[in-house]
Amino acid sequence: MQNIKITLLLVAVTAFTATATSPGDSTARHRTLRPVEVMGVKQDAAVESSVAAVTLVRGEQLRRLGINAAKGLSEIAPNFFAPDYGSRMTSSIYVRGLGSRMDQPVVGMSVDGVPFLNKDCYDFDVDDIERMEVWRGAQSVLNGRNAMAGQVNIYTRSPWSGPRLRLMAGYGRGNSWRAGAVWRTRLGQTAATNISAYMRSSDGFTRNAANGAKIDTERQGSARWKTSWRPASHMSLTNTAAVSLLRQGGYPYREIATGTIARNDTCFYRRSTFSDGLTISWAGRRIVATSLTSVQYLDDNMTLDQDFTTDDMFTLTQKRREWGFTQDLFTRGSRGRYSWLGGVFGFFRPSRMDAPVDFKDQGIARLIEQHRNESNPDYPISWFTRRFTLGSDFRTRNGGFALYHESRYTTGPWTIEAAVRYDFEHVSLDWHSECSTGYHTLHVLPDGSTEHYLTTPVDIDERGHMSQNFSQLLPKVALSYRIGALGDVYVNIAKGYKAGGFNLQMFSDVLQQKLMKLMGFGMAYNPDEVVSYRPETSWNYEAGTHISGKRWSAEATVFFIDTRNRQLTTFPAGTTTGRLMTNAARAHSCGIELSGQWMPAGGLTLAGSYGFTNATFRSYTSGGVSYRGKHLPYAPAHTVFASAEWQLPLHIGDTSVSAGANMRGAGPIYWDDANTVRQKFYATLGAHITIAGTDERWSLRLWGENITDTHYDTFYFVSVGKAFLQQGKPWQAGVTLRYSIDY
Amino acid sequence: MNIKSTIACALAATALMMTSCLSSSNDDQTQTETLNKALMFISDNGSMSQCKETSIQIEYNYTKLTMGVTVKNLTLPDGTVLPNAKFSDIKLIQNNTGWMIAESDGIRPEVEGFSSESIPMFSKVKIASINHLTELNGQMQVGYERAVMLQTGSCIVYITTPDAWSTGFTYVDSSTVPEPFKSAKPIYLVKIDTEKQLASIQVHNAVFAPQMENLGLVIEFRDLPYTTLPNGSIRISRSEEFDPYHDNAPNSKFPISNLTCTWDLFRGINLSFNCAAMGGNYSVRADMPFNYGINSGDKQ
Repeated sequence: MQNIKITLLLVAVTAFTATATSPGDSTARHRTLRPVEVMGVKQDAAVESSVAAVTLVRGEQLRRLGINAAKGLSEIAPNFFAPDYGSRMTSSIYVRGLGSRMDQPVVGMSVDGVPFLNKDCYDFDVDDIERMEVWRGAQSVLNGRNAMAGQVNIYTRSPWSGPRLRLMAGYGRGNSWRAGAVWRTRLGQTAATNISAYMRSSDGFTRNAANGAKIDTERQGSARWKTSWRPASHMSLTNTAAVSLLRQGGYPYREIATGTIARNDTCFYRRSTFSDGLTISWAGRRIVATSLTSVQYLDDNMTLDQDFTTDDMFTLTQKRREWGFTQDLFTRGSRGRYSWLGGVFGFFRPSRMDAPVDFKDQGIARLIEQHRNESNPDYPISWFTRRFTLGSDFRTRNGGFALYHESRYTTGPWTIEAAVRYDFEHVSLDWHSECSTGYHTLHVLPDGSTEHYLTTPVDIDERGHMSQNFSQLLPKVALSYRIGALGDVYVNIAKGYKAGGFNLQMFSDVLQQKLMKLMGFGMAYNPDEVVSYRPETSWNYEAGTHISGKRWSAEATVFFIDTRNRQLTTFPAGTTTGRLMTNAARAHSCGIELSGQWMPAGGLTLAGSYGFTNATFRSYTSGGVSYRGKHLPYAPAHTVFASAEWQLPLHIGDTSVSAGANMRGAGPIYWDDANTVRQKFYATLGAHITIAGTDERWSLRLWGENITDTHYDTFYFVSVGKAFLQQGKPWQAGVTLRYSIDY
Repeated sequence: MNIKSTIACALAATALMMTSCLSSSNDDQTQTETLNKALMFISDNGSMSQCKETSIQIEYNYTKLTMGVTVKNLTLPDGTVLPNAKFSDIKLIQNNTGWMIAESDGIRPEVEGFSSESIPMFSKVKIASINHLTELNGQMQVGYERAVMLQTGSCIVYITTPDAWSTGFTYVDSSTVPEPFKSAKPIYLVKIDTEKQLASIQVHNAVFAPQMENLGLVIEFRDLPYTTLPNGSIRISRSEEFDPYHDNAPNSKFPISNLTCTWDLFRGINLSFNCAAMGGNYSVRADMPFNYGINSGDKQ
């Protein structure tokens, strides 16, 4: 009996099929007891036990919608917006108006419980997803730093899900093809393993007008090996190792003035990652203890034509190698009406980065010589060479620990939850900037000829060290009331936190200004002041409900978020590149979220979600200009998703046919703090027809995305006095074939 | 002056060719500064000499609250040469964080190898030690002013650091705008070159009009004639038009004229000049007292 209790307890924290709202899920709600496998889950997405807004999308629905990355949940989860721009390094996710384009994210991410420490790794394809969860609101208590606006959890398929070989191949517009295979098998009675491999290649849709070549090409491959072992009935181990390789062009930025995408220097992003996560769980009489250990490695190279034009201005090559180590130890248990979870977490992330900026002919001419010679035309300067390098290299060490606890007490229909987390973090930076160049000063003679006047070498070799400590106490309280079998209503108040740090991209500007200062003009930046940024904190207040019936479910939430010391990305004044991180004083964000699904008749499932956010600055002044009342940039005011899935009453032999259509929309989106440039609300239409065999052993899916070829922009920025936009992907269509072999 | 700030200033002194040493001897807490390239000029019954280089040591005694100064090879107008004239136990009359002034009457210096009867009596000795912080390029810089006055019956010897930083408010009257423009950003560095016997004035963060606020210009007025004055001032003056230097090259777009600068060793600097630029005429004046007890970055 005790073992059964333990088993049920383990199941309560494992993969399950009872859901929060799952858009477009055509299966009836039910619970299935899965084979025992503890996955180290801290957050239970079951409706009746969550006091938060959660969107859960299961594997089959992900495949119907053609989603294999977290970005694909954009708009499906209300107020969850993950624009696709730049490269896979730019994983900027916005939730309820909160977001970040650089450095620290506002949304945490985990795969099979392993937390990703670097948001530059958030954008990756996984073909074998069991389910994805989007938790909205402050999730900092359980997930720590950088889960200020939410948490995305991805769970891959269990190796216990039956012995099977599954193959996938697809082809679509843009000469885009992908292929994958998953092999799953048992290793005796107590162990199972699966190995998956995935490849994708695309020639993209955008050409470089300068040379006719495709810009947004992509080649990627990945492999995952997941093994689960149950040496005893009360013990489970799961290890997941994953490796991925990516090479893409990317950065298809269109200059607004010319309307073209044209550049003469190469842009690409190359990334290699490795991760391994080991989860060990032990179940006692009333307690389950879990250890989750991970190691992560990132090696990437971002090379940019940093002016994004055919001018020879400057290029950047940013190379990085980074390790990440995490250890999470937590226990959870229950006794009667009281249940609890508590743990300790630690991480360490050392990183090395080398990021030289090459100044080229026109960059030297326009940004240095022209500026200087306009002020003194009788004694103009001429640079030694038409190309020189501003070198920067960095070594960062980031580490921290946290203690957390969550208690829950249920009495009758009431459940009260209280949680707290203490988070401490230390980050240090050793930086080195160097430049060795120089210029000649000429003297213009009365007859117009020039003579040499002076030679000035420029030698910069500076080093520095900076460090910061952050500590936060993150509380949360929640109250829910169960409305019989209908569902529940809840309120929760939680504090969120986004870590501070150092903006390394600003160093190129610091060095450039240092160079100008040596020439007698320009305000030299103090690295200590302009590179450092402080943590951002928020208080999240929300009330909501989850309700469901036999054929429908719905969720509604209202929220208010008060953000302090908000981190913003701005460009420094003047015609410089690089970005500046500042802490704006305060911002408010409020809104509503609605989602639901309905199965009105056999075979038809309707689902939808809507999010509205009004996110504005409450106090923010920059350059003497107040932005109070202005909308926070880059986050949409509305997100909309609607889908219809129909299992057609049509059978040809052993085949079945289903069809679906979906609409996603977002906007308006303001691109700047002053709200002078914006993207209007836009919507895209997708559809599919799937023919499948018995038990879906094979399926052929014809799909289309952005069928109406809606033109919209996903990103805007200004660099070197020019404004750029990136357009969203055009219409796409393709076919995907899946085949499974059972043995 | 508290010890900690003294030490802080001492530790930073090497950047200005000064060395400093803190020590304790005979239960007295003392500190010695050595200034190897000090400027000295002499008023001999109103007849003024040019500046020449000398070397001095200033001693601080925090226990006795006195200062002292040793002058290397002090040569008086009457031909008296005192190899290392040491003036000691000059009582502090003002003692504050960042600045100290000592003054005494009737001091006979000690000179090794000289009998006291052969050493002249100085009717008054005054020493000023001023440190002030100035923000430059986002970093705090320390400005050091040291001024020494040694007065005999017939002459006054003035000694100072070879340059002086000073900040204050710069006022600009312009023919193009009705209201005077005011800015606290410009920082002025006045220097005397004893080889050329000419002065120079560097202007950092040169802001003489609103549109110059973020330029961070550094300009220099070079090769300026100067005269020394009996009251312990150095007057720099150039009335005819000349080109300022920017990035080590003369710039004819901003001609300067009617430049007058008075550097009072014990009081501060005031400066005025005209500039014809950008289609207008600009009259610039800056009154920059050494901010006794006030951080140079504070608003006045």
